[in-house]
Amino acid sequence: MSELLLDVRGLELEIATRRTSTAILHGVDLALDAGQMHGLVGETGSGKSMTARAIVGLLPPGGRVTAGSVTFGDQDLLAKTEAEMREVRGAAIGMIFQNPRTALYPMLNIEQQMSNVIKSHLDLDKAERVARVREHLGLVGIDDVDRVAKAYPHELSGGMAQRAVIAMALVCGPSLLIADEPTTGLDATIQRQILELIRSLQDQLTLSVLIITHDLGVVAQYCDTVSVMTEGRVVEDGAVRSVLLEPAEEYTKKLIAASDLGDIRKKRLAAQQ
Amino acid sequence: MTDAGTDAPDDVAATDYAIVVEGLQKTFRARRGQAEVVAIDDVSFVVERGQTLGVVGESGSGKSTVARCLLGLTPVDAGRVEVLGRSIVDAKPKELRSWRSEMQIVFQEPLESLDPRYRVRDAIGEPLLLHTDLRGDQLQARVEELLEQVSLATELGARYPHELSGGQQQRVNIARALATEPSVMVLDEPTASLDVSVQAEVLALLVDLQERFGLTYLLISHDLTTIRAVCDRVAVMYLGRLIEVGPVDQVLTKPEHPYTEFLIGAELSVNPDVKPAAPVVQGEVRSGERPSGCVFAPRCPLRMDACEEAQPELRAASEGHVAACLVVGNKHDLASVVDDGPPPSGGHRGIN
Repeated sequence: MSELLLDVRGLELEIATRRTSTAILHGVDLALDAGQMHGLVGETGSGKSMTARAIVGLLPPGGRVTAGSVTFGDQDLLAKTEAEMREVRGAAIGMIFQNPRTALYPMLNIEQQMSNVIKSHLDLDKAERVARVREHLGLVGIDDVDRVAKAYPHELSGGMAQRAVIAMALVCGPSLLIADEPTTGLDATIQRQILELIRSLQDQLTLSVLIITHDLGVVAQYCDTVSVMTEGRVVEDGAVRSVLLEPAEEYTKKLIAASDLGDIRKKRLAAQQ
Repeated sequence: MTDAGTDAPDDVAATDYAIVVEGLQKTFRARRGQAEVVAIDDVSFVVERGQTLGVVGESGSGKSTVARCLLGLTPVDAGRVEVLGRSIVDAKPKELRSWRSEMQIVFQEPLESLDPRYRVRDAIGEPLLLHTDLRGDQLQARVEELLEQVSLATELGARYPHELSGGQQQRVNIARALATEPSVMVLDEPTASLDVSVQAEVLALLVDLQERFGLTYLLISHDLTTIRAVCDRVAVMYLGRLIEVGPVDQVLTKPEHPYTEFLIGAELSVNPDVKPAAPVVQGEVRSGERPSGCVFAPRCPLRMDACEEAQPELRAASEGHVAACLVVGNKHDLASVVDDGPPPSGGHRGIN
């Protein structure tokens, strides 16, 4: 039985600057069932990242949700205060972002920063915290846990840093992981390692994942369900196979054709005949 | 490197090559006494006139350094580099400047390649002022013609770069490159920072321009989908070495080098029913200490003792298709040698 974990309805958001205010989201609906991996896909400016930020209450200055609801389990996230949201973020909802290096604080080693995350959410003593950090570094496929725990971010390769970021996002045992372009900027072979890792963690930890991406390949190969966004709206959503194999909307069709580049290849080959 | 270097069929006369690179070597040194970084190690390839060679590789593979050496933007340590029959290695700076009208480059970041203070028409007019006698109305007419060739409205000529979208900015860079009627264009990740739909439009434009003007392209890309769509041949690089070269249809459907196979496996199809063609490769590219044998050996599941002893030379797999691997021609199955368990960081020991 599938159970709804995250339910976003009619989300509207605007960003106010000194003089004007611009509507960014125009009624976004998004549903994520427990244990699923959901892809939120769109191009630059589609509102996909802003949707993710609105869900966890991390809006940019001037950003304001003007309508809609965000229900996480039985909690109304939009009704929460900033202090209450801080409790949710990093505990029940883990987050990872595109550039692993900027997600890590340069002056603390990996163990110190993971330990700080634990301190702010869980009541554990130092030995328990250290054990938990080590356990989670192992969980994300790091062999050499001792060295990585004591390493500073600049000492890690891109793939290793992203593994550490994932470990940090999971260290307080969230039920939902929000990953905003988690593999953009990584080399292709490392991208696949990280996606396989997220998939295996999803099974091991009964985790639900909302993955925000511009890459339909990531959605096609790793997600169960998908929402296609453009211009602040979800234009199509559903099971990945049905959306990608039988797209109903023009925009989805265009995005699939552009990702595949098959038309250009066909045209080139025809010209060479 | 031996005669396996140039991978061209023998029946093509040397004059049909727009680009000839042989035994290219480039090492960077930050400061005297500091560690050296071998960016390119004994790389050889040729590109026939009017064709597109894709150079694919991950971070640190040396693909962008190849592009820069080709245009004389980075001096080479050793090797032969010829573009349109002229030796880039021996050229004087003045000669290079005058040749540059025939060999142009388009970079990844469209906005960074444009001077923010130049209007579009002045940006496109600049190479014409440098390399042609066109002035006044004639120059403006040529600028408008170039705008039309890259499908930009004439009115956009009055805009500044920041007023354009990323795709429009890249079209301006392409128009600038085209202005001096080059024969060779190096495209260094020309669409990597563009949105998917814009990327497709810009690639379609590049293909059209090639057909129209008979351009020779060297396309640097990390993206196999792009390579497959627009290239005739592809060269795969890893840690500064060329590990496989051949026709796109051969290399990307029947790869001989295990790394190429993993790279193809990392390409994620937008069709959910088309599953990755290879298992996941463990480990990461190691910078720093270079393996004495095959550069890929530390991550390779097919590694044998011989792989760590010497760099494998390029061996012929089929016509025009070579790979630097001891297993060339032998059937192997990566899936059977790679564990399919939860992904550990594997061969990557410690911190890179």
